[in-house]
Amino acid sequence: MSAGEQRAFNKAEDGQQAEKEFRRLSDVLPQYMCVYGADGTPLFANEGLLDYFGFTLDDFRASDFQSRAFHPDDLARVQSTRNDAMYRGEGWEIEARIRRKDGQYRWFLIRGKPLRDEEGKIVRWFSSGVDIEDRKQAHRELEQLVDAVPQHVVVLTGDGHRLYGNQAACEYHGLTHEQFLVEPITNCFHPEDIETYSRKRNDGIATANPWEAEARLRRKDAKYRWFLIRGKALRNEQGSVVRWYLTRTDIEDRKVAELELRRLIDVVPQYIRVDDQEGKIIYANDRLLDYFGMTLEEVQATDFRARVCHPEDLDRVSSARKQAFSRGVGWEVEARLRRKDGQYRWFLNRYNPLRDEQGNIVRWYATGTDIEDRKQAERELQQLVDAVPQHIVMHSAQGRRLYANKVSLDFLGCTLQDFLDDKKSPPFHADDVASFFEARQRGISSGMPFEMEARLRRNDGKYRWFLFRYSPHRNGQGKITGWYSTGTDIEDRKQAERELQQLVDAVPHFMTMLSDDGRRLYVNKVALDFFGWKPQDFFDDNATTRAFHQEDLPNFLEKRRRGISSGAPFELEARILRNDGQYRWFLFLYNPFRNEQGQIVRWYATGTDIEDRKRAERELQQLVDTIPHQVVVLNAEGRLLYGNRVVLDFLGWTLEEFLRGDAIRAFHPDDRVDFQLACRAFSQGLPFETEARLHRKDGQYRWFLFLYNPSRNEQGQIVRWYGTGTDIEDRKQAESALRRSEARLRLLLEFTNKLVTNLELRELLRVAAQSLRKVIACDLIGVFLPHSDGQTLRSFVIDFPESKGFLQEEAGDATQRRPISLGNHPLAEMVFRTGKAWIGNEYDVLQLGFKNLPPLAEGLKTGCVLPILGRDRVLGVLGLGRREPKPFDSYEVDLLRQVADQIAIAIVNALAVEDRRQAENALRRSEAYLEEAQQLSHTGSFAHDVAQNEIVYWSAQSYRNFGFDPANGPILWEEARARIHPDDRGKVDECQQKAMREKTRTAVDFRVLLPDGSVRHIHSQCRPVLNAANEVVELVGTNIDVTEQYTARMALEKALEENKRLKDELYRENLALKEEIDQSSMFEEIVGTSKALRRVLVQVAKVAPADSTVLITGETGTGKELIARAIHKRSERSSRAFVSVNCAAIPATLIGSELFGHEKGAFTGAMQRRLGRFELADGGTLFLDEVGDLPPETQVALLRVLQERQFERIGGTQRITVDVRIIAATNRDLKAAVTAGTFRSDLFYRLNVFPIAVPPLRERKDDIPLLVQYLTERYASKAGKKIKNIHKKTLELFQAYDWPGNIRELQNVVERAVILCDGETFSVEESWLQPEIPLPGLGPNSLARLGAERERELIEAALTETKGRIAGPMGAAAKLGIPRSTLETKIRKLGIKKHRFNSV
Amino acid sequence: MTLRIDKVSDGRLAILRLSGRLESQQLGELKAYMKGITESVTIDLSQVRLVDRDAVCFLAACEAAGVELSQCSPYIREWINRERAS
Repeated sequence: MSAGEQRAFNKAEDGQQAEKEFRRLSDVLPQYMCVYGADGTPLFANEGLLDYFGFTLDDFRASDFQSRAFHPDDLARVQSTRNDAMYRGEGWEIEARIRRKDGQYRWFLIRGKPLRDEEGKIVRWFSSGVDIEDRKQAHRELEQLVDAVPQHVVVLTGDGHRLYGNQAACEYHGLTHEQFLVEPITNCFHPEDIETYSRKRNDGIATANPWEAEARLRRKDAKYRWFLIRGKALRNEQGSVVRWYLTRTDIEDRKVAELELRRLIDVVPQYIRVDDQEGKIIYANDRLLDYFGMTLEEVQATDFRARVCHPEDLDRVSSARKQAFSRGVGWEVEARLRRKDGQYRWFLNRYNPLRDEQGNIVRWYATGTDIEDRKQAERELQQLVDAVPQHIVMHSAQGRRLYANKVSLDFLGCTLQDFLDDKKSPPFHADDVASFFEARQRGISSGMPFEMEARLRRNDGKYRWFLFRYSPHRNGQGKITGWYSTGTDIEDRKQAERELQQLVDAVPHFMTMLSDDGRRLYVNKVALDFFGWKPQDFFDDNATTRAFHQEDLPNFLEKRRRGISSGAPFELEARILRNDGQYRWFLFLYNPFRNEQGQIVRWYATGTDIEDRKRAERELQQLVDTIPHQVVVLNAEGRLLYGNRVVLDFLGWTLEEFLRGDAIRAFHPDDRVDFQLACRAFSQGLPFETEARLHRKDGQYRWFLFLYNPSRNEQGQIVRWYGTGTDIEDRKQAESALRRSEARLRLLLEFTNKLVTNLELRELLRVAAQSLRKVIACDLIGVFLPHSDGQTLRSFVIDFPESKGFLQEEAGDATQRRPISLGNHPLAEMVFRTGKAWIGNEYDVLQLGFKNLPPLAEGLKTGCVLPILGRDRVLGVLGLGRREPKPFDSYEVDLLRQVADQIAIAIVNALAVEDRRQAENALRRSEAYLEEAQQLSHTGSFAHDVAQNEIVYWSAQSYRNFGFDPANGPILWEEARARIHPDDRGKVDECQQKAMREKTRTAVDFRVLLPDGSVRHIHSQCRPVLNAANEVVELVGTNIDVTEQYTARMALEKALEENKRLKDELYRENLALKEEIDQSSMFEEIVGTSKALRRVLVQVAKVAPADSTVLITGETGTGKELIARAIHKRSERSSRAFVSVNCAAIPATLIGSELFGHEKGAFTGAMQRRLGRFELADGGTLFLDEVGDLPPETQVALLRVLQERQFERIGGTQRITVDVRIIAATNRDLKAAVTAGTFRSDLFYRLNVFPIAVPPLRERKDDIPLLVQYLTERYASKAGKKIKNIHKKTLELFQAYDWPGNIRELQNVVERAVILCDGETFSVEESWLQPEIPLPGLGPNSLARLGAERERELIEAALTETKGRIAGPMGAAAKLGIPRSTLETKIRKLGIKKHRFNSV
Repeated sequence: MTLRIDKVSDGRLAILRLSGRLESQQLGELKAYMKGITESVTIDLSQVRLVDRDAVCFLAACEAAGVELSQCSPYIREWINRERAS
């Protein structure tokens, strides 16, 4: 074997060995592996693959392997791909479904690669399969997800061919997925957008960079909508683009909004420009184009900026723009832009980038705002700033100079540019440079306004102090955009400060300056010298500790801290250490200094050496402690600072207790409020004084007078109050005694005044009691005066406001003589009897044996009872009582004794006044009686001085007798005499002369002629009044108006004559009448001669003189009253009254009043007192007709009268005794009424003493002719007719008739007949006397025979027919044929309500 | 005979029972009495024995004003009716 062969063999051997190794290795790989020959013949498959298929290697190598292994849908593609690759000798890769031994297809990624030999010849094809079923499944799910996305998703191959379009994309175009994959782009895009889109897409694919484009896509309804299409590459492991994923987002709405926005932008008063990322202008709004007068193309030209920007600004603008573009940040610049008319105007140009999601700048938006006006204002402001006499410098936020006004530049002697270029730094004083810039840097870093002072050298070489104030300027976001500083020349102020400091150092007080929070800033030289310190020692932390006395330090620090935090001025006292080692007291005054905003910026403190004052105070305190008065020291607000020993000893307190702040508790509770009110003067700064009681340590209160005076400093401010307390207890007691004495005197004076004013005694004593109550505290004041018995007392005045009523005033005046039983005052009576005062309490009273006294019942505990002593007797008793158990002291008793003396005077006066009043009253009454008597008797009196011919006295009646009015005043005798009838004047004169001459009483009758012409008859008597010499000095007498007597006498005389004449005539007539009566009847108007009537008349004659009570019974109309009158006339009482009462005619409610009378007001309608029938019949006869109709209550009263002969008027209380004979009458059956209970039996028996039954007419028919004759004549005479005969038939008719109405009916018939009678013969129509047909079974007695029910029916029927009417011809009684009274009795008995028939 | 007036009241209705004579001279008193009554009024005439024309006119006026006339006797009723008709 050649070497070549051997190598080939070895190689083959190696190849076989390798293949074996490969096969063994592939069997353990998890992949499916197979090997093909160079021509594609299947050679080998690993066990995994065979197992997957369930094949043997032979099956793999069989020719139908592929058709059995691959999915029918994939087979052609697999074979095509593999054959094509093998043909080209290249590897392949394909995804296809391969059938598993269980019949399931799973997706595999199948890769094929050639194996070449050294010459490059293909010797094998290796194929591997990876199960991608899970990936495919995920891919399918992803596709479903993508289909659900509303965006369009399109997948392209790496070279740009469509592979996939999601459901949204396909549906948008109205294509199936297959159609979408092959649809030409021209059908999908707007023709205007295809070029731009294709360019961007192709560029993106070519560069493999993401890209995006906006284009309009055609919708299935042929409408276009704007979409934003973004392409993104998917790369494999080698970085090659294998897919493009495109998303298409609908931006139609945004595009529309942009369009709208652009329209809006065109109307915005700014110019707006949009540049692309390179700065090329792609848009300019109308306002910009209009301003420059250019088209968009002209604006987009490269020389645009150079054409419009002011040459001076162009470089600045370009530089700024370039920087901004390079940094990619927004910028703004102010520049002048040329308007189309050639004018330049200032614009603020702002540029802002627009970035995409990756942060890349895709646009620049530029706006330009016309700020020409603002620039103009700035120029004017600059001129103004230049005119300000201050240095004004403007800096950037970082402190770089931006501007300086003219004053600054002039001061520095440089131009603005030199200043801005930092060529000219401010020439600060060498001592100030470092601190200035350090403070400046610190201030700028803080961002807060700050100020500092430094010296600047003026251009003349002199330094002057300046105050520099820096204030930040902030933009709308609060960011500092610059600093403004002003420099104010304060050289003069500094000079003043230096001088002030020299002055301060010269002041002999400590002066320190502190910061707002109390840090030490400055101290003057005096202070440093005092301490022996250098200035820096003052700022040492231990300075305070070193300076102050240790006892004062804590208090000092605490008060200073509180004072500074309060913000109000304050002061402190403390000891500080002098350089010689001695402590001295200092007063420190702290005052805040505030800035214009009211904030505290400094505290100024002064320290004044008060060691001498303190020493003086200590000495004063020692001195004060020795003063016997109370002395207190208070601060300006009135807080106690000190109390001397006297105060503390009095109160029993220590100084600490005294200063504790509640010293007010030492005052009497009643005085605390007043004291505190007085202490309000502390705030007013005025001295004041007040009085109050202080509580001594032994528990006693004593009055003190407190005087408070302020102590002021040189400024007039109150620094202390000094108060003294002086014990005025003795003075107070003296005042109290004086007041009581004054009150006592006042009371007595008041009482005396009341006494003088003639008050009525009771009123006087009441007033006195009220005055007394002001002086003496008590509950009861009483004055007791004796009854006429001189032993017992009555309470005349009781002043007892809170009385329980056991003690009351008893009525009557001071002269009351009648003993009143109301009072029961043994204690007062004891004092009255003994004339000795009693002062004691309730137990003393009980010991006296007095129990149940009204004062004790009133709850009085102590009392004072004093006699009211008159000149020679005890007039009464004054008593006072208290419910409080406080006894009456000697002062009160003394006062009461004086009051009792005054009361005694009042009582004596009252009694005297009363006696005088009674005497005057008696005199007045006497005069009045005389006057009344004179007037009543028409008797006047007079006294006539005859010698002087003057009327000395002329009574009122004398005036009237002579026709004068007494009210017109006195008259002269001649005037009176002139009224005397001329014919009588002589008589009168003679009468007077005779009286004087003979000194005897004379009388005369004369006439007075009155002014009205009438005549008055006067009877006058007079007698002389003689003096001691028996001479006549005057005539006194009376004149009596006897006109009435005279007239009466004249009339009487005439009447007597007439009487005599009439008497004679009457006598004659009387005789004639008697004869006439005797002819007709033996009794007046009782006509008849029948036996029945005669029997009655016999009874009458017998009973008449007996004065017995008579009961007359009989039917209605039988003449019962005539019988009664006859009895009266025949009785002893015939000369007295016969009073008749129809009991049935009087309402039941008035029958009592009618019989017994009534007092005024006894009932409504009783307007005046009225005498009853009993009183009217007193001494005579009372005829009670229809006595059966009396109501029960009246029956009782009547019975009582009959028994006792006494009664009372209705409403009256006085019993009246009468002497009356009673004759009663009734048509009722009283026995039956008694049985029925409607009439009292006792009354019946009392009346039925002598019964007389008057027969009905039907039982005395014999009397009818006589009666007819009598009646006919009477009525004929009355009617003026003359009837001579009575028709016989008429008499027969009359006698045949029953006359149920008896004689009254007969009278009516006769009267009617007489009226109707035309001739001289009396006759009646027969029909008049036809008896009414009675109701069946009725009649006076027939009803009674009926049963009660039947009787009720008949009566109710009759009442119904007569509408309730009972009496009268049409009444029910007539219908039933029974008397009215009988019917009424039955109605009551049967309980028939007759009124219900009224309305029927 | 005088006029007596008795009043019975339950708080809502007052019954005035007149007794005796009701004539012009008593009318003033009756009117004054009625003026003080706040309840509804009924006049009981059952005990009235005599009236005159003024009284009848007054009773008619009372009835027209709503006052009830109780137990009015037929002749007074008739008279009231006639006065009212005239």
